[in-house]
Amino acid sequence: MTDLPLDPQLAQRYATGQLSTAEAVQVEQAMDRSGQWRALVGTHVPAERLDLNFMAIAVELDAPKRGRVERVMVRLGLDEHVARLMAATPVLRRSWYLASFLVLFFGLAAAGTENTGSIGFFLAVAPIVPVLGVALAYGPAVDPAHDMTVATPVSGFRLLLLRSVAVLATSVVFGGVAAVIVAPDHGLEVLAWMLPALALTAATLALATVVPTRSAAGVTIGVWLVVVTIVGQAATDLTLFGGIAQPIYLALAVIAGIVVVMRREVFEVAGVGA
Amino acid sequence: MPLGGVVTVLGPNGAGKTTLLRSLATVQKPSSGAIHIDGLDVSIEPDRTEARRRIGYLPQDPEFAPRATVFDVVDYLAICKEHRDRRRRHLEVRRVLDAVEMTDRAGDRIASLSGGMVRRVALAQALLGSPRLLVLDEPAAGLDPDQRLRLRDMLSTLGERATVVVSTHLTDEAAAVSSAVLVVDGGVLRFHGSPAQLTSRAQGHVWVSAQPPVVARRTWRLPDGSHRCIGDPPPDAHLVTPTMEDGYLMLVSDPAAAVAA
Repeated sequence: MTDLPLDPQLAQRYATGQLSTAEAVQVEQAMDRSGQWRALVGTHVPAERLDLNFMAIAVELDAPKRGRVERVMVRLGLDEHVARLMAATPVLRRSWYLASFLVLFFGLAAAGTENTGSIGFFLAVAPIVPVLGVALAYGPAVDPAHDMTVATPVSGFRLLLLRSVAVLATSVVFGGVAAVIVAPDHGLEVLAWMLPALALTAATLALATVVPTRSAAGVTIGVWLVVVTIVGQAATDLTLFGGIAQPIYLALAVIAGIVVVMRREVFEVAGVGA
Repeated sequence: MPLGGVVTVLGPNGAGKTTLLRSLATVQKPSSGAIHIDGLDVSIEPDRTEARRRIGYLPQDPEFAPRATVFDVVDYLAICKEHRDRRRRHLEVRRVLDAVEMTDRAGDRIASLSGGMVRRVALAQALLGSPRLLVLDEPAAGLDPDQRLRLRDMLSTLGERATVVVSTHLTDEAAAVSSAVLVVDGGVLRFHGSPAQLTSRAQGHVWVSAQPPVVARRTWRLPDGSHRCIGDPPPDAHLVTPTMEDGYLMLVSDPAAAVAA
């Protein structure tokens, strides 16, 4: 029921657009609550059109509002549905941003307090961030509706790649920002973690074709920390990030990338790779 | 299976019903054999993607992100089902939520819903795009009798234009809506036929006895103290009309039962 009494004249004036905004809102509220009011206005407007209009309004009221990440992606030129597919993962939520930024920030801050001119600690920690991100980007462990998603035409491999790219991109941005804030004097040296990050992320994806993504990330991070510790003790902190090491990371990333592409089939069903 | 109709998969726990349905829905690969949907081999691309455009799938234990809203999760899965135009997609989401009577809860978070409501949301996403093959794993679980009645009605309607494959433990549900019944046990197909054919398996094998029977494959005590028995009846047995459940119990209690024509 509505408080506004049925008024054929008011309904006709509404249908012909002669009401003020305030009066029109009153009539629309009445129509929303009362079938009699809808029927009355329907005598002046085709009922089908009226129903469709009301349904469209109701649908838009129910529809989810775009999140901040999604809005940024759409502004960057991504299609709305692609942005939604990328953003529907825990890693692209505020808490992930905060955690990544803090890890990178404190890594750099710790490097600064060593007062040795070395940023080895930061360079060792930073590549782990996107690996963790990839582990949280896809699969049944992070997506309760994973089985339902797998049964749709969207490619699991494409979803994983889209989200991995988003994770890598945000890690690069945060790493860059953290470097500018905390270690502006180090120059390009603070960017030496990027190729290791790419290699570790690709290696994680390659391993994820054999074991669950989280386990793959755990193995990759574990191996990386062992390598960093051993090389750090045997040589200087920056040996792993020097000019000789960087092409090795690139080669590792390429090889791992090839493995991922060749074994992408495992991401299309619920199973090991998920 | 022919196009159209409701096909019910029955079987004891651990019989392989969910494995069969997950395989049909292309979620998992069968360990042997092949699945063809509308002539498409789902083990290879691009056939599998094309087949997925024709499938709606309700898993046995559907879950969604608890903080997301009802509209949110169905809208996301609509995107996964290639409904790209935002406006049309939202209308489609509204349509399927209407079909499961969840429109009023569209803005509610998943965490605030009961188990039965979550199942209805999962059923809604399975209906997106009016698929030709609906694979529904235990759709009646968690629904009250009134909702089950409406589900029966919906399944019968859907079965007029799509093939609906349903797994259930509830033989009365199966008898009410099925055009065909499959019975699986131990990963093996034990029966494929109509509900009437399954019921007829127990014809002449169901009797009521005042005393606990000495020999019967299955027996249970009735409220009046008598015993309903399934098996080979004694000569003086008081035979009764069997139900589909009797036929099912007769079948799964007979290890030598063959696949019906």
